[in-house]
Amino acid sequence: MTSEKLIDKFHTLLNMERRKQKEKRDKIRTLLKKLKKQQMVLKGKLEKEQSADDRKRTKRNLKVIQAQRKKGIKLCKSIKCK
Amino acid sequence: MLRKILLPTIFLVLGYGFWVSPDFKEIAAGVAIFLFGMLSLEEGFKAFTGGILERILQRTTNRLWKSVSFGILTTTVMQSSSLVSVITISFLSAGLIGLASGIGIIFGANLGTTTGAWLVAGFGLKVKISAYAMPMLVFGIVLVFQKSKSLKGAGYILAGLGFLFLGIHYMKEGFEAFKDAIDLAAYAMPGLKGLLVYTLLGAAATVVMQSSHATLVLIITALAAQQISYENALALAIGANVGTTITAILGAMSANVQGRRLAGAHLVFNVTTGIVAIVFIQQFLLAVNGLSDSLGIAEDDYTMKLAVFHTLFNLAGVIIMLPFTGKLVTLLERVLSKRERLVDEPLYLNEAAMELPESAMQALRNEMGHLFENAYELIVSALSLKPEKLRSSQDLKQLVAASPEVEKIDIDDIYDRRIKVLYSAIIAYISQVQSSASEHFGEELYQLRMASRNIVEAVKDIKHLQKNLVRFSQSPNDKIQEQYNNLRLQLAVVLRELAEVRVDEAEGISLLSLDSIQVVLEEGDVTANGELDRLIREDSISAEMATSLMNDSAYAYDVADNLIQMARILFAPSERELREVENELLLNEEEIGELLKAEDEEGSN
Repeated sequence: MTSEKLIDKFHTLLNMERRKQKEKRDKIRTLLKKLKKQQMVLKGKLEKEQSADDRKRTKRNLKVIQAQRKKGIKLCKSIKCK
Repeated sequence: MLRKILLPTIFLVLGYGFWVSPDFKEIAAGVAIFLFGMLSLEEGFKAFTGGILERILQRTTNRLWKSVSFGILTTTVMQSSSLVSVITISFLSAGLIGLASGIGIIFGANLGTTTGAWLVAGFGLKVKISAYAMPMLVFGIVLVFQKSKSLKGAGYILAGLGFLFLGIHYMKEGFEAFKDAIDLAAYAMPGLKGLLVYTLLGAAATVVMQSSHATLVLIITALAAQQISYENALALAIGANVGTTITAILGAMSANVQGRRLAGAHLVFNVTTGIVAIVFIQQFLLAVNGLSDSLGIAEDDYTMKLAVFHTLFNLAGVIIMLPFTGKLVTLLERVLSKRERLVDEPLYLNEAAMELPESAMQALRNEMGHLFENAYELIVSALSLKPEKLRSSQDLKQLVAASPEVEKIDIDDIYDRRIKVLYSAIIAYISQVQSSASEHFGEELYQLRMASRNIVEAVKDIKHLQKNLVRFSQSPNDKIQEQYNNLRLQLAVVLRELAEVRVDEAEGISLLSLDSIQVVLEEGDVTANGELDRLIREDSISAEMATSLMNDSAYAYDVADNLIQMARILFAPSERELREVENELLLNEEEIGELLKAEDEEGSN
């Protein structure tokens, strides 16, 4: 670990506000990963779905997740997620 | 009756004792200071139970051996099996841990509490501990006056230890002086008779003092001053172990059935251990002598030998009882079973759970889950559907079509018996918690109050809807029948999705899944999607039918919307940061509108 990284970690530890920001970033990243996973599952499901009703339902859920991911990515950028 | 005469009798005995002997006064004051120290210590540890202890408790009690280890460790550190029992009962009552885990902790606490005898016999009697007590008291009290919760807690712990040490000192001094005036050893009773009489005495003393720890310190100091014989001291220690279950039983009186089961397990464990110790006393004595020899304890160091005995027979109890934990759970569940009642009652809201803010909040969440379950069943039944079928993967259109005629159910009666009682209890509990919990929980308590109101509102809306559901499901007009079946179907979709979200709570995106349900709800709104206009235009339904449908569509929308609003609070992750982030990602009205618009455009292309 470089000294810069070490100092950065030390700063984060001391700075309450910064620590909260870091926690928030971590949580958003985790959520985005989960949403991405869910999106993949739904895409796979959509390909296999036979009934029109189920297809409609899956498509709708997929769109909701895409919209939430879009929102999440925007939020992530605004608080400088790396 | 017994309670009424107990206190004056104790006062009379103590008063007479103080009048007859000043040394007795010193011993009694020692016990009082010791007990005060225990209270202070418990108060101090409670200051640190706002999260850390709860997190450890939840994570480390998934296996029986872990529960036992947790019980041993926490009781050793806190030197109070009562506090560990109280925390365990409150967690069990709130549904945070299972009965088997609770039993494991209690077994461990019994073993952990024996370390107290080692500390007193090995350190307390051999060192002038009053010298340590004074600075501890001074520093402790200074810290108690600090604003910081942690410093205050540390102050109580330090002062508590100081009082414990001071209490032991006074008991020791008192017995030393007492032996010059009266020789209690003259009342020693050998043999089985002595064993039984002193066991009862030990139990009675513990019941009065509500602390086996205090009884044991009293026994050790009396033994060190040779006021009681070694043989009788062993019997007193066995009695103290049995008597301590009274504390747990008293604590469980305000708990729910799970708490009472735990107190039952405590009683079974300690009585069994006591019987084993009495029956095999000779074998235990041999084992104590052998173990003391190997540990380098002098042959005449009876206080240390008492500590060895105390640990040994509690260890034997744990070894004997541990393999039967599962059977004990089954037995307790059978003996102390939940009564089937016509009027439902709160399952989790009890005074025991209110001991700690964390367990009180969890108890509230669990009770709201209970309220939701009852409301869910009522709403599903009002739609003439079966909750188990709704939760299955059966096609919803078929399910609705299978019961075309909606049967009327007495919603008012079910509301009174299964909803209102819980709702009132939740609101009362929230007010109680609000007055004792820190500001930290204020917002969450407000949210929970709102969520419970949402549930009740949903029930009231379904009541309004039911009237026309029954009426129009039997109408000769196919179109209106179809519209009301659509309302049922729309609600069934929302209810199924809600049930799925609840099951998937652990997935970690529970809140976000609610957006899809909101989209379903907006999509199906008959007033908004133009369906109603078409029916009126085509003269398929009368104007009266149209207005009924408009009103009922609004009721159906409100039922679903209230349930979704409730779910946003109740199904949200308990972790505050995650909850906040999920809330930020939730789609707002405008975004949902855009999604619906895009869907419409896609459909028309």
